[in-house]
Amino acid sequence: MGNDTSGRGIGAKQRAATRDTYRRRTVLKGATTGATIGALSVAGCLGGGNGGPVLRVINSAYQQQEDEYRAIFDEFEEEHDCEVEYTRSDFASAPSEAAQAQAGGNPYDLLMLASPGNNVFGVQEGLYQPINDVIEDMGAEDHWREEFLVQIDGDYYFAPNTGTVSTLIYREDLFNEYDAPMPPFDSWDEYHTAAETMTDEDENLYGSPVFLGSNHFHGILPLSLLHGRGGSIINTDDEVVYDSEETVEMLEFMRDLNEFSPQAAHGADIPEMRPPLYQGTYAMTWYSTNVIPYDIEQYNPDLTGDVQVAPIPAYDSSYEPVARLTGLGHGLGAETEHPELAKDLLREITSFEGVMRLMTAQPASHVPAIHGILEEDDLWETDVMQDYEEHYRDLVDIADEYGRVVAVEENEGHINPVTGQAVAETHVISSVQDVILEDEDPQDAAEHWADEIRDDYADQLND
Amino acid sequence: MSYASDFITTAKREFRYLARREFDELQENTVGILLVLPLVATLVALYLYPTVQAIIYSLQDISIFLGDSEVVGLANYIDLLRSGTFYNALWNGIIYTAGSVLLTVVVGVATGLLLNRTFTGERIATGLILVPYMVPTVAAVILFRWMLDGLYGVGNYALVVSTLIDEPIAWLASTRFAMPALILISGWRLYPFVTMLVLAKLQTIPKSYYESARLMGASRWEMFRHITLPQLRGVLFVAILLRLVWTFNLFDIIWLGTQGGPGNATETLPIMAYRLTFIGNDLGEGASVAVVTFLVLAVIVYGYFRLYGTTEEPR
Repeated sequence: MGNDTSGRGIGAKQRAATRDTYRRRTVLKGATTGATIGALSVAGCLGGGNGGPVLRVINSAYQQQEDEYRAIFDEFEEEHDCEVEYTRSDFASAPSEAAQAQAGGNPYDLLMLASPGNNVFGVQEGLYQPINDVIEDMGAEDHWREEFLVQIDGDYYFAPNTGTVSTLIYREDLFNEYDAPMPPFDSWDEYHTAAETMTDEDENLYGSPVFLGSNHFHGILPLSLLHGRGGSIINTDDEVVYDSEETVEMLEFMRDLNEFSPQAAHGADIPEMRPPLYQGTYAMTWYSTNVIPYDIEQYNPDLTGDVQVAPIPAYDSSYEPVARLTGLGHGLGAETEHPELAKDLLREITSFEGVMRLMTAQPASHVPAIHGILEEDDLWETDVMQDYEEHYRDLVDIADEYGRVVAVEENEGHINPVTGQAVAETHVISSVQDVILEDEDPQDAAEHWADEIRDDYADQLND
Repeated sequence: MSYASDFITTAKREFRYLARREFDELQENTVGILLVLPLVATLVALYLYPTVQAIIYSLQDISIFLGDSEVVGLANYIDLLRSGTFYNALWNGIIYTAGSVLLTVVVGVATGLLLNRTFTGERIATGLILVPYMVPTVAAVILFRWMLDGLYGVGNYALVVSTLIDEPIAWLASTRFAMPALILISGWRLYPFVTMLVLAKLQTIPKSYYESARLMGASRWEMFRHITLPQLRGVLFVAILLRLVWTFNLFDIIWLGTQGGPGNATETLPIMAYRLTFIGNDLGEGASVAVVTFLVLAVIVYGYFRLYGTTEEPR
C-alpha cells in the first residue's frame, strides 16, 4: 500500500536507535519535570483550593483512552501541585457544555469537542485561543505528522495526539467463500461488483449496508465517495458546488449500493453499524475508528485475522481515495486563568510518552498524530497488536496515503468554515436520504441540497 | 444554670407568642402571599425564566456556543414557517400524538374495566399491567428495537412463523412502518397511567346504579354506555389532556427509537428543536421551534377545552 512509514521496513539498528531516543527522551523528561516542579509549585500556591490551581479539561475520549487520560492527569496533579477536573463528554453535548461553562464564568482550560467540526466551530465562536508557541516549541512538523497540523486564519489552535481514520471494514473469510473481488477496490465498479456478489438474501448476507441516520457521521461514506470522484461541497473560492455532476454520480451510486443493503441498516444508530459484520450479516461495513480487536472480542472471538480494512474507493484509478481523519486534538480555552499550566498539560498529552501511553491503552485503534510512535517496539509488543498487526499496518497506511481532516480541510490546504461546522455532512446524508427514501431524482436532490447549503451559510459564502 | 434555662424557655415561649400574634393580625391576603411566595419563586426560577430566555434566544442569531449574537427579530420564525421540514415535523407530531393517545386511552380503559372485576389472580394481573410504566424508558425502547429488528428481531420471527407477514420487516427503519411502531411503543409504555386513573374512578361508581339498570332490563353494553362511560368522562378528560400535552412534547421514546428517522419520517417538533440546537449548533432556530411547539400546544389545549371542557358529571 504505497510508502511504508509504519516501521515494518526499518532495520534493527534503526529500531535500536529509535528506542534509545525514546529512553533518552524519558530521562530528559524526568529531569525537565523535576526542574519545573519547583517553579510551577510556587505558581501553583497562588491558585485555588488544595494548595494549587484547578485545571478543567473536557474531551470525548473512548473508554480505554479515558482511563489513561485520568492516569496522566493524576500524575500531572502530583508533579505540578494542582488539580485536574476531567469531564468526558459526547459529540452532541460537548459544545454546549463547554459554551455554558465559559458563559457561566467557569471555563474549561483544555478542550477537545468531540469532532473536528465542533472544534473549528468552537474557534469561530471564541472558545479557543491560539497556541502557536506550544506548536513551535515542540517542533511543529518535526514533532507532528503534517496531515494532523491544521491552521485557522494563520494560527494553530489544536495540539493533536491521536486520531481515527474512516475505512471500509470487510470479512476476508466471507469474500474468499463467495469468490468476490477482494478490497482494496480500484473503482466504484469493483466495489459495486463485490457488494452484488456478497449479497445472498437467503443466507441473510448483505454486501454493503447503507446507513441513513441523520447524524453528520452518517454522511461520511457519501462525502468520501464524492471526494473520491473529485467532487466537493464548497470550492476554494467558498462557492457551493454541491450541485455538480460528481454529486449526481455519487447519489446514483449510493442508490445502486442500496440494492445490496438490508432495509434494517437505514435506521441503524452509530453503535449498530458494526456488530452485523461480526455476526456475518454484512460482508462489508465502514466506520471511522478501528475498534476491531474490541469488537471481535465482544461479538465473535473466532474472527481474529479474518477482518481487514481498506480505503473507501475512488471513482476509478484516475482519482485518489479520501480517508476522513479525525484527531485535531486539544486546544487552549480562550478564558483560561492558568494558560501556562494548561499549556504544560497540553505538552504532556502530546509528548512522545503521552501519545505512546494513549496508543497502547487502546491498541490497534488510533493513528498517532506525531512522528516516531510507529517505529517504537513497545507499540507492537502488546498482545492485541501481535494479533492484529497486519490490519493495523493497513490502517496507518490508509491514514498516511489518503488521510485528510475532511471536516476542516475539504479542499486540500484550505480551511473551510462551512464544512468545518460539520453540518454540511448532514446536508450530504439528507440528499442521500431523499434519493433512497423519497425516490427523488439525484439531479434534483443535488440541486435542492446545494440550495439548502447556500441558504444555511449565506453569510459565510461567496455565492 | 437552672435560672438561665428557665429564662431561655420563657423567652422562646414569649417569642412564639408574639410571632403567632403578629401572624394572626396579618390580613388574609398577606398570609396567602407569604405562603405561596416560595412556590412562586421556584416557578419563576424553573419555568418562567427559562421560557423567557428561550423566547429571547428565538429572536437572535446565536449558536449553542453562546458567543456573539445578533438580534434578528422574527427571522428565525419566518425561516421556520417557510421550511417544509417544519410542517413535516408538525404533521408527524399530530399523527404521533393522536395515535398514541388513542391507543393509551383504549387500552387503558379496557384494562381498567378488566381489573375492576373480581377474579383469581387479580392482584398479580394488576402488578403485571403496571410493569410497562415501571420499566425505564430506555430499557423499554431498546427491548422494542431488538424485537422489531429487521435482521434478528424475535417479533419479526413470530410474525413470519405465524404467517402474518411473508418476510421480516425493518419496522423502525421503514418510512412506512416507523411511525406506527413508535405509536405502538408509546401505547405499550404509557397505557397503565390511564388504567390506574380509570380503575380508581370505576371503584367509586355506586353498584346501585348497575343494579337498578339491571332490574330495568339494560344490557351490558347499555350499562357501559349510559353509566360507566358518563361516569368516566371527568377522569378521561384529564387523562387525555395530560397525555396530549406529554405526548406532543415527548422526546425520549422517539429519539431512542428512531432519532426522527429514517430521513425525517418520525421527526416531531421536539426532535427538530433538539437537532437544530445540539447537532446544528443553532440555538436561535432551535429555540424558535420550541416556542412554536409551545404555541401549537396551547392552541390544541384551548381547542380541547372548548370542545370537551365541561367536566360536570351526570347525576
